[in-house]
Amino acid sequence: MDRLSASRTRRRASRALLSIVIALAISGCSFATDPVEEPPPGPFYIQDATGRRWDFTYAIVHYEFDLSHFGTSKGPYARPPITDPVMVSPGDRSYPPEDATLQVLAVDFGGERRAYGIADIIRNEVLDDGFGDVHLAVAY
Amino acid sequence: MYSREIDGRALTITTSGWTYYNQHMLFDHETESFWFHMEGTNDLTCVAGHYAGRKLRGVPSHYGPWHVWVAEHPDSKILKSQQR
Repeated sequence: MDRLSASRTRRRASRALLSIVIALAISGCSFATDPVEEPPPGPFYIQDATGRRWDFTYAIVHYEFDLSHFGTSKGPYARPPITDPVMVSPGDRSYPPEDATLQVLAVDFGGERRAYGIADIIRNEVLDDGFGDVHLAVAY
Repeated sequence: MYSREIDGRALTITTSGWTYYNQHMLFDHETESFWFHMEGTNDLTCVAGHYAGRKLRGVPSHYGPWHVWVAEHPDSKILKSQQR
């Protein structure tokens, strides 16, 4: 091999090496720009006055709830619902007169009509009633 | 007013004690899920807990003065009051 051939061979080898280095560099760059999978947000908790924490991550992630709009709570067990409502019928001694001034929530369900005086459910906020096999919640 | 039946069971619905945007957040004792009446719907949506994403159907109801209701429904029963 003469000197000219040897020089060409070295140049080719240098170019090949340079190509490999560039390829590796580009490949390295592409790894660096791959999107990083972020961990799921949360968990997010809200704490009641008893100290118990409740997981509201689902509400925040799926419904965009904002925990700053929650007030304080004594906890979900602080105020039980009315679960054994006693209903009175027309003609009963404690049935209110037609002109009684009271606000009601009322329902006509399957032909049976029932009314619930707001003043009687407001303390508990919820009354759980049943119409035969059908169960309803009255909330105010 | 809402159905409190889901997956063949009746839930005990109560108040959670919390309000969100001044609207009560409800809660069920059986699964400790939280239920909320989302704007633009008639139903309760479970926003946290076991039934997250599920709904309890809203039931049409009347809210107003007793005299209006009873005039239209003279056979209506009414919750026995502790105050009358």
